[in-house]
Amino acid sequence: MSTAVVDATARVPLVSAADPLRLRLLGWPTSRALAAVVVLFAVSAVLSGASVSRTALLAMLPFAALTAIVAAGQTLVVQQAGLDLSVAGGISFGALMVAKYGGPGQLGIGLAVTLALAAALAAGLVSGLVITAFGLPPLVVTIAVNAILIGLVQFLSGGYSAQAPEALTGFAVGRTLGVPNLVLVAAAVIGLAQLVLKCTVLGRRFELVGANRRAAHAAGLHTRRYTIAAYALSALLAGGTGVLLAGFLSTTTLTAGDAYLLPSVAAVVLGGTALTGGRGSLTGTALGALFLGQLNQLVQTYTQTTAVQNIVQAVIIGVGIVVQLSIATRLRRQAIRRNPT
Amino acid sequence: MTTVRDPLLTLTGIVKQYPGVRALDGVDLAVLPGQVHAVLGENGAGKSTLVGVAAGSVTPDAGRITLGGRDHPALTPALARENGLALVYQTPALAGSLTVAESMLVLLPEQVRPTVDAAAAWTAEHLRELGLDIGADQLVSELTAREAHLVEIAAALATRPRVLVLDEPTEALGPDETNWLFDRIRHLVADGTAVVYITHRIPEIREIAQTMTVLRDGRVVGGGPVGDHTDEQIVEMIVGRSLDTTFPAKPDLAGADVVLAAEGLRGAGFDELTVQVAAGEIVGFAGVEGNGQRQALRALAGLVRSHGRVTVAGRPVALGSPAAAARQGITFLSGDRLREAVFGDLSIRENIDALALPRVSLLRTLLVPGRERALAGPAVAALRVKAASLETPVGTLSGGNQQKVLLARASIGDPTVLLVEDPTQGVDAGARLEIYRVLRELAARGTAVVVLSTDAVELEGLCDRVLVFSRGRIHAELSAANLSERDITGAAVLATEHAVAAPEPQARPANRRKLLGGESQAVLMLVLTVLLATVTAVQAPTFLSTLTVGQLLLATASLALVSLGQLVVVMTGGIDLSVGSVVALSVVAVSFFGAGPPGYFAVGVLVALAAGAAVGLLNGVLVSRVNLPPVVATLITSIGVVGAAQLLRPLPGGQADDLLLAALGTTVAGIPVVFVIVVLVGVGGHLLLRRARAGRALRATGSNPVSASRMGVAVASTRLLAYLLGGALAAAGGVALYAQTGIGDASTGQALTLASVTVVVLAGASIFGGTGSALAVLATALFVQTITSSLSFLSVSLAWQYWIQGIFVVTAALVPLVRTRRRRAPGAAVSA
Repeated sequence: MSTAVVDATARVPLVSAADPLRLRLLGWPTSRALAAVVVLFAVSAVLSGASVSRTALLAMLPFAALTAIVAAGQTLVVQQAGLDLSVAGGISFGALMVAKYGGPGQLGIGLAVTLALAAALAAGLVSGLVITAFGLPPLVVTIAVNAILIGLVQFLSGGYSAQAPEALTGFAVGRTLGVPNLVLVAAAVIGLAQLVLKCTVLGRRFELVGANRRAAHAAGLHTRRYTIAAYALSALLAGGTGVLLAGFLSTTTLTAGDAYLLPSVAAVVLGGTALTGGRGSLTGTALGALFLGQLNQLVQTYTQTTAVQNIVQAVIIGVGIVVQLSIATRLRRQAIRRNPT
Repeated sequence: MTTVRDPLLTLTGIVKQYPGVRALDGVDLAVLPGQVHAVLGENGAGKSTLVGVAAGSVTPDAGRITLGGRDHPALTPALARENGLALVYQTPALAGSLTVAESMLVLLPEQVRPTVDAAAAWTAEHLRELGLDIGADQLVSELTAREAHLVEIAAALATRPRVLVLDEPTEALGPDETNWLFDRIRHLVADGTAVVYITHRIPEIREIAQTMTVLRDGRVVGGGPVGDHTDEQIVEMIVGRSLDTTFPAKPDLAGADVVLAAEGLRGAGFDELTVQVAAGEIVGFAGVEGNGQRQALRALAGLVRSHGRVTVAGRPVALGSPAAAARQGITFLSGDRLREAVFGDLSIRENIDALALPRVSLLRTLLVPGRERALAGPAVAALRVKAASLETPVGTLSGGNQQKVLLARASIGDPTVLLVEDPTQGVDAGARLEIYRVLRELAARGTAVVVLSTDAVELEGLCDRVLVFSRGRIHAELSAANLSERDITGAAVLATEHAVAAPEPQARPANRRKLLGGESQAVLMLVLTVLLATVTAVQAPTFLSTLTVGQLLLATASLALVSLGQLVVVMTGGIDLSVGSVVALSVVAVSFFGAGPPGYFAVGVLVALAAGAAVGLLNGVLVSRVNLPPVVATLITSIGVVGAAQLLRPLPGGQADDLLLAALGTTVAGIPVVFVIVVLVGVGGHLLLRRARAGRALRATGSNPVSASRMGVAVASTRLLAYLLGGALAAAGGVALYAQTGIGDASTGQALTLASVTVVVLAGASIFGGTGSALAVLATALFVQTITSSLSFLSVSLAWQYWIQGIFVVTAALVPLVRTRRRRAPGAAVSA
């Protein structure tokens, strides 16, 4: 028996207000995504100077921006511990609406865009309502909503693609102060969403609901509203991505959105948002989208075959996700060890 | 004991570390034959972890396990069972989608296991012998918690165990059943079995046990023959100090205002609850588990539906809404901390100010980090939370510190009413003192506190008044002089005597599974198919021509195979979004063998199947070993696999030669041979799922992985195997598709992903895993394919194909949910 009797209060270490900077940086998902982006650009520069040239960057950035916008919506859904597989249908639908009805002879660009976004929003509301009201898995519901959107695309298009109106094309391929307009749109969307998410009461409650729905419910939060909002916003952003995509490509295929499903999920995970829900980072997601864009660019300098691009992407995305997840697990273990006993 | 006998089970120096807490710290236990050895301790003392170690479901960090005379460095539940150990968990660990007889098949070791065909009769006989009125072919999910518990005990007894471990077995039982159990135990012990009896109830060990070991905070603090200790000595060993120093002093509450008043509150499991709690008072809810006290507390919190009248400081509270309760100053702390109280991934700061956000923000909108820290910092200090920093995720803290964070959250909100469920569940003895102190301090500030606890010692020490529940009503009210552990336990047990005499309140649902041999969904799908075909044929008579029917069946063949693959994966609770890509890969692979002799083509089929199985294996590894969510894992492989298919055939090619195509298209009485083969595969799958051990493992895994693992199912391997089989079946679907189209095209197949999910859900398989029928999948594939074909015959837009699938998926997924809700709605007294 030790003779040293210590006052009970003195034994309790003071809980510091913040972690050391090194830990804060490591624990911040955005910094990990940023590191991945920096490494990728460095590797690109070494492997092929052309892939980081001004021309290459200007060609790549609009696609990364489109991925970032749709992935921002996906992030919100993932934060609610869900998954939105209807983004593919949402994009295809948005693209078709402006291409088919946006011309001066039809509804006009303004009305067509409004209609496209409103319909996408409605589809998202349906997903959110069905998921929260009945407790169905998001996967099944969003697969179904995706099918309905694709059906709409088939129905409205009659199987033929259309040409986007010139006003839209002009904006989508244009630049302001040397920066592609699509990048500016993406930056605005991400910046605004991140601000609301991280600095407001609303955003914090959104994260609380995502982190533990049952606990939030027991604590008196209206959990359904936040989840429905996530699906609605995701669908809205997917529709918006479709509108911009139609403008950028000028002619779109009816399955234009399919190519964005995996990247939207991959950008979220690479950006450090946990698939189990809760804390998320939209800047991380944007960096994840940038990573995917540059990866695509780098692979393209080696091969024009989509087959190889697909395989390489799948492998690197898989590895990236596993690394991101294992870092999160390791940080958690560290945090457990750092607690005094 | 006159002779010294070797212990049957010995644990030596067992250590088990969990996040932030050392659950077991050098525990020794030796259990002799022919004895009941009681293991005592408070909630959180480490009893259940110790049980897990002995049963092989928890792997200790250090220590030795000797069972049946051998050391077991890596004990698994199956191995423990083979060595004569049987265990009954505190909460039933049975998978809901198996029948009682099937559960027996999974639970019993090979020596005593009946054959599949004899299982139902054997189980019925065994249950009858034990005097239990439970049907052998009832689904576990239809049993009450009490019945499930009895089934587990029956299974444990059937193994004729040499060591029987019972973890708080009487928690869910009434006195009659407890007596029944004690009789059984006495018989076993007389035959030389060793029984480990986990409990925190002293009267029970007096009745049944000879030896005891007392645990506190993961350490052995005492033990020996039960008769050598007085009750007071045992309590002191369990609590670790005399009761006077453990609990804060109780104040004089004369004249305090009533704050919380409930009048005639009734709901599922409780009735006519009238209770008043004064400012500064701590009232305890007690009773044998399942007598409505938990539901009553939750009703006050707005978490379960109820009727009646509740007021807080005279203001009425809208019932059934936690938000409404919160508005009137009611704060609820759930006993299920991890799932219902803490935001585990978020920081201590975010957890503490979760309910006070407007207070730490500008204009109630913009959060101010400085104010957040200023609120959370002092609260953490006041409760002596031990953590590295305010930014530490709460999930990394020990149970005691998590509870302190929750109390800090509650206390900064100055609640008018605080409802606490199991406040010290999983909390170490040191933190316990703090928690009692804080609850009393909150009460002293004028809060009305209601505490629900299963620990009578705790209720005695902490509460001013204790209400003992029985059959959903308050049976006794104890205060001052008659408020003691003995009185609480006595009142609870005495009360339950009446309860058992009364009939079970829950009406048993009619056994629908019996209908059409449990394959009503398959029959329904066939009927719908015939109807649809008839309607279409009326509009377009050529729909029933031999050619059209042949093509329809050929197309059904590939859809059915892919859907069977999807079914296997969905039944484990997963999903495979890569099946479409696997079909593409398989079609391309087999197309390289399309222009040779039949033997050459057979090699191609094998290559395609192997490729599909390889993709499935990759999916399985990513899901079961790397722990990626199934959606993400299969989405990634999906892209990679379609890339591989495109690489093999950038452009469509590999035309099957005419002879081969003719051979593949062989029909017997108008029915393609390929279709017949698929039906046979489906029937084989049906037998596998219904009768084979692997099928039961699959269903148990999907139903509840934790229970399945405790039952001895190798969950990770089962998942791996399911994905592998799913991949192979999808590849077989690709071969069938090639038999239909005769060309290798990497862009085919993608539509089959959605279609396969549609078929599986429409076939009545639960999307949450556990249930599903291969025969129903066959019939549904035929139905879905008939829709597709008839749409083109009726010249309806292609869009309808998508819309019908989309609407069908959601509707089919909703039907079982709605049905379950309706079944559960009327007065289910016992909740799971």
